[in-house]
Amino acid sequence: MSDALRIEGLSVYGQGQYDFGRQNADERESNDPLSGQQNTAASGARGYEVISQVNLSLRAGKVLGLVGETGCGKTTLINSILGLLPASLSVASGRILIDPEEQPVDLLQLNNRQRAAYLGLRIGYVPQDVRSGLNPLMSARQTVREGAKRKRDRKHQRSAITQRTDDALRRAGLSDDFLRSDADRRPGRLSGGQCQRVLIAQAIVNEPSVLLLDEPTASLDPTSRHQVLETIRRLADDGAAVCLVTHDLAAIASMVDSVAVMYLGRLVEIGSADQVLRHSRHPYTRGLLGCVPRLDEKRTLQPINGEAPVSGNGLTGCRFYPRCPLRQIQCEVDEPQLSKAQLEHQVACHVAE
Amino acid sequence: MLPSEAMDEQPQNQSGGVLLRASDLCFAYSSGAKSQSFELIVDELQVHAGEVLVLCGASGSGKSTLLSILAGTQRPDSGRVDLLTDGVTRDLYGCGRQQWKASRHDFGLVYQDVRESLNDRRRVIDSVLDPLLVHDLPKSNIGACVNVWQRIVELVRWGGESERQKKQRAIALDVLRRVGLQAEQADRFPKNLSGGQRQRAAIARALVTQPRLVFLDEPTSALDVSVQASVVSLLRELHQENPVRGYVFVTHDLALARQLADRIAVLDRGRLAEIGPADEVLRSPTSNAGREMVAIARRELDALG
Repeated sequence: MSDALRIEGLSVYGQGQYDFGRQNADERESNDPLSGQQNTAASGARGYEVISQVNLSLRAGKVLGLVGETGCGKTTLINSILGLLPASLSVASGRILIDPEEQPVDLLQLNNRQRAAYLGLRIGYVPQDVRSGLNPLMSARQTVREGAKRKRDRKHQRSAITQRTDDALRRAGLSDDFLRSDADRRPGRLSGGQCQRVLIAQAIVNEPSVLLLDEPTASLDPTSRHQVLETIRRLADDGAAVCLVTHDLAAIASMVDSVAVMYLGRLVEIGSADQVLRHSRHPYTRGLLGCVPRLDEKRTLQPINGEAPVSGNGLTGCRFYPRCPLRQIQCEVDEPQLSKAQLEHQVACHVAE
Repeated sequence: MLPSEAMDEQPQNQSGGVLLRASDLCFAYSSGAKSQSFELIVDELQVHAGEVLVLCGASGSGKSTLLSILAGTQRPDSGRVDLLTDGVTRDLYGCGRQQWKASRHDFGLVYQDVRESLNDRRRVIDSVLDPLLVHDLPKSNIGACVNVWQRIVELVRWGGESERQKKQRAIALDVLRRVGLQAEQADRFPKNLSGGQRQRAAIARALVTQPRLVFLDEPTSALDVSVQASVVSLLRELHQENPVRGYVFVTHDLALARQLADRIAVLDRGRLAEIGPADEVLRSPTSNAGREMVAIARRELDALG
């Protein structure tokens, strides 16, 4: 299978001083990673670092799970592909190549107008928040139709669009029953799972080769979550390259092909689902797995030490060092790089065996 | 302290004593269209002292509605919810306003949305102090009228903190410390706390009146898995500390229920599909809804090895 999208050495920086409103001015001096309030003053001319040197490729027909805690840069990564970074963030280096093997185009070099030729057509996107992702005044069918209109069919335009709209709703896992009775309702009258699938339908209506989903199951109960994930799996089997962003390892474990784990803007472990989830080697991945409650044993959950700092600034060496149970002196000064330990299974850690 | 039976390995046996009893509950609402109408019918549900009862179910199965009815914040169309304390039975929806207010501090509530459950414009400590002020706790020996008078005097004096205020503040800080928030963090505004810390503050607010019953509506679903783990550990510690307090916990995550529950109740489209000891429900669910939930949870978790 070929790569549909390749990210090479992507770094994103924020301007000026780090400030997400979570710190008080008086705490900026303090530097206690375990309290979860990591603060440092402005770090040089480039501002603070949000994503650092990320290499990632999305393969056609495969689902990649991008996993990490809040604030690790998952959504920023997606937004930089889409060109949706807020004004305070900017891409410092790297390339995002679509169709890297045939006719590579660097999305970062395009202006908004050129990029629009890709968004919604070659790249489908499902935003994080279901309710605010849908226009409350448009019915489900109108929403998807609006997306379908972006692709011009020369003949039979109107009927072709209607056809594709219904087809997308069906492929997103909505029943014929829904198409008949509920598709003309506004999002306020639909359930969370239905809204989520309408958003997916809108993203896939033009049959994009790359599909980016930001926490598509966060607000769903297990049954609808399972159905939505099955839908996503089917889309990948039809040939789309899917990137699924989530913090919930358990939810996606059964349907992803590969997993990339992110911590503070860096990839710390990449590999196949089996390698990362069953034979994880990075202490952070193990920590995340230890937090997942299991069904069979009433064992104590093992929360990771401390909370993730809001920025990696001021830390040298391994970003996970302050919370790591296996840390050694080397980790504090020397930043580990992703190393190919086994085929395709890469870990950024000095101590991982 | 309650009888030692409450600390027994299996608090699901009746020895914990019934703390809350709901009978013949019926609650219905509709929002225009027929397909949107909803009806919750529960014949009988009991919460025992010292147990964690988990309400499980899909979205729209009525678990949050049932929680609100049990917690006394949503009047059912018919039926009654009795709080049994110190040998007194009190119908939450049938008793007068005064009586209702008098038992209100026996209930602690924690909500799902960590962003909205605390007042953004007040410091955390003030939000946690609120229940103490509203219920005028800890109870002093002087009558209620005098207390109101005292409060007016305190308000007029404005400047210094009275002994009583100092005492209340100490209680609030103590509870906050118990949930892992230091005095320095208690003086912050909610926006200056992380999601996990905010939920801890909300738990502290629910516990500050020393309630007999705590109701939690998906308290961890808005949090990261790693933060969820630490909040769940906290809840387990709190449960062990006070073997008398009953918990009602709403979640759709069965594996999470497993971590906390003594009994699990599965709701399906407004009906109580099954209820029983957590182990039994998870091992051999009898209802369709229960079987489906267990099967999905198993499939997901099997992939993790």
